Amino acid sequence: MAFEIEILIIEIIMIVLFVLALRLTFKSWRDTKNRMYIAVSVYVGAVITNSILTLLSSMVGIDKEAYIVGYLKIGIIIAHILFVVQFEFILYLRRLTKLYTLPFIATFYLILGQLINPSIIPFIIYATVLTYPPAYFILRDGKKNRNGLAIGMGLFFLFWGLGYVIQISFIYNLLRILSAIAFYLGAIGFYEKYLFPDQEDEEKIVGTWISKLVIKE
Amino acid sequence: MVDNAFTTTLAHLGYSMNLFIIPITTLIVGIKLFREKKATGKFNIVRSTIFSIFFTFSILVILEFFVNVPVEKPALLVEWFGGLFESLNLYSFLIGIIASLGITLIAVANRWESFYYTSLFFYGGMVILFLFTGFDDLLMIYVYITGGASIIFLYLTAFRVKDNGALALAIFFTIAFGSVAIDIDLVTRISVLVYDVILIIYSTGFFKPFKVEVVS
Repeated sequence: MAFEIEILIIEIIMIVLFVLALRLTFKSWRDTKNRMYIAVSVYVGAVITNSILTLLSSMVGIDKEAYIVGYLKIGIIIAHILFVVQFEFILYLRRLTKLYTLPFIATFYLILGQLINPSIIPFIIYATVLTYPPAYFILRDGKKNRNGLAIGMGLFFLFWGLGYVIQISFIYNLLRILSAIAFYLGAIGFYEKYLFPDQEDEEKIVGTWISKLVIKE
Repeated sequence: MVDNAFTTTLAHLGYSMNLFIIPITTLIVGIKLFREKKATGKFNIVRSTIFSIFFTFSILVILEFFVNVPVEKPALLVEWFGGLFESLNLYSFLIGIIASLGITLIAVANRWESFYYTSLFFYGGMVILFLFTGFDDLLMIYVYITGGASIIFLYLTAFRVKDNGALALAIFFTIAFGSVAIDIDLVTRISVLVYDVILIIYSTGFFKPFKVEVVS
């Protein structure tokens, strides 16, 4: 029971934060018509769907670890859907048009492999490759381009991925909430405001600091 | 008995012709590719794909020659080459690459950028899955579908952009895949000779059914 309440609280927090973020990214897309926002919105939509499914499965009593066909589990299918969107999103961000079909093909073979073989190792390798390197690239690009949304996405991938690695319930849940908060902060423009202030403001601050030092001396 | 001797002679003639004609065609296509690269500074993706098709085909015919001629050869080569579609072996692997490159050529010719490497990814996935699980049930149907699609789209592309190269390749693919699909000894042997002749005409630049060629 306590476990179910824990899931309920966490998933509701996730859904609330992501719905708020979705509203903002969708609004940004409507205002700017920048296709990146629609890609982010689709990704956020997939995360919300995952949370809703997790909630439903715990409430209705569907076991996400149950096999449906061969060695394929419901939980793995949901994770695959999420990774397809994540992979596609990364390719879109890096404008790798020629690789757009790769996520679908990789998923097809991973699912087919899982149907005939119980090993989860290929999926773990795939998930690791899709989590940490993209987190690094997105954070690096976000910092370079002073893009708060990209920083939020990068932190989200990082915390979300770490959560899957550290399979201690408390840390896993904490990292999931952290990932949602990090993403939400990116969507509301927190990082632009506090991590990357205007260059003019920056110069003012630096100037004030130097002048104070000079006066002191 | 006489029929058997005739088809065997035809087969050896085909293997021998293949051994020279296809690598020479590959060399000619390769020279054109690198000459263009020297002039423009970058590889032409259409030519690169055609070169890759012929290069793979060259490997196939060289291996086929060594496996089929009655000379001493390593048992491992014969075992790995296989020569049939039933499972993934060197023969079906190379045919699969050619079929995949055929689809790549269609995507490249039509500038469907998102699909440039789709067939190669799909085929690569199939090979990786086979290496890890031994599952190769998709191979045969994949080669037939991609081979068939390559032929249809190559004809469509050839007539749409009036491209002599695409038409030559379409005819070449039709005969090559047709002979693999029909699998009647005499038809296969004659087909090999026919596509060799077509390749000679194509690579020497005499294949020009479209007078005005539109290059996109």
